[in-house]
Amino acid sequence: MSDVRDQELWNKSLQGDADAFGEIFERHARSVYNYLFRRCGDWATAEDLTSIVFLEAWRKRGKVNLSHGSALPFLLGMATNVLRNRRRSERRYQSALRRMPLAAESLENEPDLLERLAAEDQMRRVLKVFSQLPRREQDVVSLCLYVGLSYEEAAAALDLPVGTVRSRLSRGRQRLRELLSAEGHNTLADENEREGQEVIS
Amino acid sequence: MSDNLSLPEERGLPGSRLTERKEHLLSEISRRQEHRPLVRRPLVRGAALAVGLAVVALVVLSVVNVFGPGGPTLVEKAAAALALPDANQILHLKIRISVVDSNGTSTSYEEEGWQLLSTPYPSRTIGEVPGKSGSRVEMATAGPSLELYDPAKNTIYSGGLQSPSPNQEQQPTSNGSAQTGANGTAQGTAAFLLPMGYKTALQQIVDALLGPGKSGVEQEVTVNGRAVVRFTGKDPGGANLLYLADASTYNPIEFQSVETVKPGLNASTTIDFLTYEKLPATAANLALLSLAGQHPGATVDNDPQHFAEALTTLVGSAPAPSAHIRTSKSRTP
Repeated sequence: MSDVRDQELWNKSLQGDADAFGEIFERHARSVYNYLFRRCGDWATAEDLTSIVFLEAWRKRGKVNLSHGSALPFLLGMATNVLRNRRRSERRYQSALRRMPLAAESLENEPDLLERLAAEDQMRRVLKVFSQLPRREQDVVSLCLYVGLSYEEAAAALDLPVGTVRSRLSRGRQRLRELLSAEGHNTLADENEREGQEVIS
Repeated sequence: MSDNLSLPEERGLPGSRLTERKEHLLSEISRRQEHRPLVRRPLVRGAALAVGLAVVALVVLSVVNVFGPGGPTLVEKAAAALALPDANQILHLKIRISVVDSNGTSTSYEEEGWQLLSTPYPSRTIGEVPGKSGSRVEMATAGPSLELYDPAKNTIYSGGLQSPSPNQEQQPTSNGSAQTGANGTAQGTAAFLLPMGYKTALQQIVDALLGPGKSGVEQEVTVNGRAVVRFTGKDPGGANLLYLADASTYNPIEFQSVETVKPGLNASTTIDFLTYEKLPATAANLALLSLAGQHPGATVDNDPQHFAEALTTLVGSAPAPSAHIRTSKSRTP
């Protein structure tokens, strides 16, 4: 991914160039979509929230400077805010979402439907444990461990000091280990710790 | 439960959905660029009321300051009273909503709500079901969940994470009833949803009040022996708007939107502010925001299916006001 390219597209978007913003959507929609899915556990909801995130990002595009030249931390921060204020966001964009054509209901259109349903089931089990973390730790842990943002990128996304991100991540991971241990599961904590060590060095 | 709690693989949007979503995004952007209004459209209308108190739409179009230049204008003072910057306070509202629909049918119901004016803005509402005089439904937000209290069973039902089926629309029904999704979870909510939007709704009113290009009339009058400031104007759809604020505090008293359906028949929505106050966020007052705080001995049921069933039982299919406050010319913000 070219961070310079993101910045160029963003600058054009600031001038009202919707096509440039559409390219940003194409570049980052998948990341936002999966982040939202891993926070809410439902693909359809994640899809609608993805639209809301980008509509919000367009609305607020003039109020942000891209950190690190990439739009992704900002978009994920926006996604976190949309999740936090989900019902308000959904109400704001209720009419817009109504204008979104419904997907045709056909297994031919969605050959991996069964796998998606299994993923939802799996994600809900994860969320049952994950949701026991304080909200602010959930935000940091999910950005750093689910998505792989660096401390600095997560700090930019959440508009927090880097030190705060570090401490919340540390507490969140510790709590997660305790929760998983209490549930008799330690695979997730071990896997994410290994991933975290690769990303956060 | 599997011993492996690893995260599921990442996936792209299915089929052609990425393209469809992009086209939808660009379409919405284009729509907003074409229809950028000078004034936010009014929020109060029958359909909007059907989704709860977030539609306290006090679009006041007054900019005429009959009291001369210098200092804040009346509209600025009225706007300041509605502005709710983040603070360690709790907004307490009690309102009566009276609707006359396009058929001349009248409906009236009351709602009372509390909302913390700092993130995450938890809230609690007690409301009448429109059309069911004397009914009382109590709901609250709890993190990402919606909670409902059933007094008959002394039980708090938590809606949990909502999982609407992709086969079904995700909006409340026009009659205000709760829909349940294919997996039994609640989709949409009742006509008198939680006042999560108080802060947002009143901020939108502030935005509308302070926006450019509006016209209207303001004057100080006496209503029932009380000194009030009266603002009148029209919304972009042509409905006549009336807003009354207390002349000393500028707190809201009444908002009304009236639309002529046909000669001799008006549709209207009137919101009377029976209570509008900000409470300190003491421990006792914070308990006003939660169902557990109000019903400490209640059983807590986190099953989304039970939540949906309780919502249907307590709310049912109550008819919601159907007044058309806005015309087809009204615009989407």
